[in-house]
Amino acid sequence: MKTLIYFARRLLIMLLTLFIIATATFFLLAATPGDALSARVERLPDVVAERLYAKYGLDRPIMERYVNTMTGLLQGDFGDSIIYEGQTVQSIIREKGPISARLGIQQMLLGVTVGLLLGILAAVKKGTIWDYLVVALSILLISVPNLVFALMLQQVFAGNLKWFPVIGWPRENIWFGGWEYTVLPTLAGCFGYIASYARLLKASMLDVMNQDYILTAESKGLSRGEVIRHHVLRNSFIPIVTQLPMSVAMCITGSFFIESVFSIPGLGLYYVEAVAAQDIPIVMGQTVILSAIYIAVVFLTDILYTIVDPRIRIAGGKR
Amino acid sequence: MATMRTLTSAEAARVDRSRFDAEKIDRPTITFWQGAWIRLRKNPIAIAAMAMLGILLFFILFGPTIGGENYIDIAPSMKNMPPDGTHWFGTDAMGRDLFSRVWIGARLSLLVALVCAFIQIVVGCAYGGAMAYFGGVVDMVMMRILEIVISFPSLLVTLLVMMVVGKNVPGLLVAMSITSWCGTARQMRGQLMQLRESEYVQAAQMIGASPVRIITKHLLPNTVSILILNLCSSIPGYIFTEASLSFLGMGLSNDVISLGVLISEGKAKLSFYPWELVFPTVVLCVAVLAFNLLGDALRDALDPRTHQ
Repeated sequence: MKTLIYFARRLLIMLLTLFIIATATFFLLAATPGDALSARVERLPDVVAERLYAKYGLDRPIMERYVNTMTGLLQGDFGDSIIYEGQTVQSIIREKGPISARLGIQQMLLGVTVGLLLGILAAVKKGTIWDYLVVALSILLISVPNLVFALMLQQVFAGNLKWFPVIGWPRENIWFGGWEYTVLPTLAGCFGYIASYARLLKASMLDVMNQDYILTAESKGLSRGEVIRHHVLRNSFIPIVTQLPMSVAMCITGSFFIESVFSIPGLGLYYVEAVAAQDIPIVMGQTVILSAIYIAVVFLTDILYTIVDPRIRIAGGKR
Repeated sequence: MATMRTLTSAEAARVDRSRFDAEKIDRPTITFWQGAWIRLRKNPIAIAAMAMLGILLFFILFGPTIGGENYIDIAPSMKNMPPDGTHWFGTDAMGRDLFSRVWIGARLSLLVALVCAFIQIVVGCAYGGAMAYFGGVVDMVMMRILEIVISFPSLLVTLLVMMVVGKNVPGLLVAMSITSWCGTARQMRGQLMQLRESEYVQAAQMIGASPVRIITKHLLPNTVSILILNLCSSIPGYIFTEASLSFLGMGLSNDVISLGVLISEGKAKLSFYPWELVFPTVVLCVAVLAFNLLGDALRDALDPRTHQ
């Protein structure tokens, strides 16, 4: 029962959050000087301009537009794009979503795997040269923004060595084709994951290694490998498991910069263009959908906590 | 019956016990902060990081003066010059001296990052402190608000706010600060609530310590180290965000000079005039590296668990 109330409360807060985000986005865009059509109607006769404004409902008073937009949102209708002819939010997300998703998944697979391996290496070989190398590498990778990596990789491997295309993204077979386009953007984006997961796992493993039950396991005569595999690793994965969903949520927006460097036609690029052009329907739709994903993932993370670590109670009475 | 002999005052004097003073603490008392400073000084990485920051600070303050070349006026005859004796970092597309521009840019970038980090700490502290202090309904309402704000995707919010308030420095500060304080506020609340329950604070209340004394002697010192860490570890993020936003064309416009503006100006010319990208990028990375290293060293120095 307590858990049920907790879920209901969380759901309510999530919906309220989405409503506030949508409202804030609408009024922020409305408060920006100019609108999506002002550049287009500049040289048009007044009659045509008026009709254009009427077509997108931009001639209405702001509160009416707000109510219209919000009721549209409730019905899942975000409206037509103003700057991309004939596009809706749904069509843009259906078209661009997989592109951003593939980039994000590839980055995470590579980055998280390598990062975890390096973290294990550093923790197991603590105090040796390997440990210091991993620590030095991860702090170096954290200190360079990934757009700088992107520019450097692009210049060296695409520009000078010509091993890979400079910009672009596979057009056909968007999930598995054209890997040569994806190598550099994936590499550029994965360094951040490598650094953060290596640091996270190393810290977590060292924490676990200081526990009494590790001493017990060792004194039972288990080999070092067995202790690491059965006792240290399992317990040190708690922060990793709970960090992963956050990374998934962040990787959607995190690739904005890499998409911009490699001209990848993903969600990020379109979002930035839509914001710059004040394309209210698109910005509203994308903001709400991306926020919804993000909020849902945060919620999921909280549930995951209780699954991987039974000591944490979700509705726990004490605060 | 023997007569009782009265003691002379010399005989009645106390024996000098100072030689036997077993309770005496011979070592100088070391406060938490002195200890932290000693540990920090012993850490070569911390020294290196502080040296890096010192050098950066020197150049940020005096670099343009030392360079002494023109970095504002357009000089068509000198454009895109490679680094040489007069222009140490070369010149940009408008013939302006990059050495000075890089340091001027770093000045703004660091200032923005510092101000944002400061806002984050102050707002976070005030909000978290209020939650912990009032408790009850106030705490609950403020916590719900915080939960809502914390679940805004920060990059989207920053982009939107930048659009509205314009591509200028105050706008950037507002855009980057809107969601930043939440983490600090939650941390502060947790820490203060935990401290309030702790035995030594209860003991202090028991023996009649005033609230002021409890706050200044027990609560503040135990939260300051968290705040310092917070400050140090959030600065790189702000430097990154400023640079990335300007890079996307959504940050500062190029009538001001910041590292992000310089990087986004330099990126187009990477193939032909690489120094126009390399120098601002290197300065940005060195600054971020220094803050990261210092943050790590501070964490080790301030964490009581690591120095048993």
